[in-house]
Amino acid sequence: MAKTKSSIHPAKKVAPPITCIVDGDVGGVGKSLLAILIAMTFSLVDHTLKIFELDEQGKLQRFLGPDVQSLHAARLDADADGERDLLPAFAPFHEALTSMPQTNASVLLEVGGALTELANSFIAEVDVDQDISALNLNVVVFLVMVATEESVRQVLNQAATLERILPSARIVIVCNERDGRPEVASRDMPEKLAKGVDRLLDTYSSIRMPRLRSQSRRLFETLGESPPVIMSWQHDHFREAMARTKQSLPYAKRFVNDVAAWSKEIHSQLTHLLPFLGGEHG
Amino acid sequence: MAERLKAFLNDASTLRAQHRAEQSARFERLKAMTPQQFVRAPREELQDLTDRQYAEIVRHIAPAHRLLEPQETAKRKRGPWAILRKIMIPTAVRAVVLGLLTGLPVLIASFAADPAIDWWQYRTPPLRSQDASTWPPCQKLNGWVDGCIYAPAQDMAWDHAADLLQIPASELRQSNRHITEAYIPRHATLVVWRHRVQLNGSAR
Repeated sequence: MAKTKSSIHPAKKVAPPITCIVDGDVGGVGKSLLAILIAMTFSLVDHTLKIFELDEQGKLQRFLGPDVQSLHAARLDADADGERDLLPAFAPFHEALTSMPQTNASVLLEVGGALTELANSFIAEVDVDQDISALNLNVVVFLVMVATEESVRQVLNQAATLERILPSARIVIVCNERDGRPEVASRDMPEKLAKGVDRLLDTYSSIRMPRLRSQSRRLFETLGESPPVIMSWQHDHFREAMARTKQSLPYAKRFVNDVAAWSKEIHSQLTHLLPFLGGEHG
Repeated sequence: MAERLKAFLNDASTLRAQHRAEQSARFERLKAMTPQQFVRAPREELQDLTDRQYAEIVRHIAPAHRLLEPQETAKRKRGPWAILRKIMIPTAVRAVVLGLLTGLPVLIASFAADPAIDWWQYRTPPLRSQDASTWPPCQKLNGWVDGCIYAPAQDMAWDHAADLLQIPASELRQSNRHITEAYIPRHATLVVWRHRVQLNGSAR
């Protein structure tokens, strides 16, 4: 369940449009899956969402279609003077962010694995925080954490960096339970990390991302279909599910059930955090 | 509420209800099995059961069978000393201490082994034949060896050999009257005997 304990980040009622940034630095922690579910949650209530991915994998594009705009890291190659110009690469995102009051369209940015530093450099260089304050924008940064030391360390570092360069954003810690519950696993990590996780969860809002059975997760990633589509395969006694997954009835059914339970849980967490996504108009 | 959201929530609740109904039906079906049928049930039928469900089915099918009650995994709790130790003693220091505690006994044992063996051999005087040429060779000359013969690789002074053996030179010469030279020539047979070794068939 989403929770907010902090006096630093009060749970103010967030109204659309908002900008969601999904980050976590380490690759393979479930950032894309979360971004897909955020996109799904927006689409269910017909809120316009402009989606950007700072990632070469193109995972979001495969799931969500050609409307997803890639901020190609190739554009970030250093010029002849050895300087990297971040502005051309991030310009589409920045424009979408700053024009939110006019377009009323929300924005989603997924920062790919190991590209956090680039995004941070852009935020600091352009002083995105000033734009957020001046235009009174709502920005939520989802930091995805799994139960590994590396992931916890990165999220701790990134939370500290964001406090410095993007203090107006609301930070949400996403505990991905793929490898177990990070807050529990952290008790067996070095004291500094264990205390850090406690502090993170006390300071910021948090949501949990339940584990999706590994066979179902692989199938979900391979098929590239959104959860509502997969859930619609239940009709005609899972005939479509069997055809698409090439699995027998019990396995196809289990896959659909897994995806339904998993996406419904995350949807509940997101709508608790951002009530307007549950159909409330705030 | 948006149509799509409504459809999503409906689908989710329908699937959940179906899933629960199927699980419940499967549970009842398994409970109605005979023990023979249950042990032959396909793996897919059983793999989603929790430990408690499994135990309940077994209790129902075979009440006489004693199956241990599944235990909740106890959460590991750290005592105050463990927490204090983790905070106060850095990992590197703990590693060094652990290394010393492990390495030190090995080091001490390696140094102490030789003297201990010598002492052990010295305190139990061996039994030797009267023919000294059949005695075993001395590995080295020191204050512990007894009842053995030594062949120096180089010429050796009597005093030096006596020093090594920690016995008077006269006593050494007495035991080695077969060496007539003023020194111990190389490859000569030096008999080491401290008058403690028992000789076969002799009270000498």
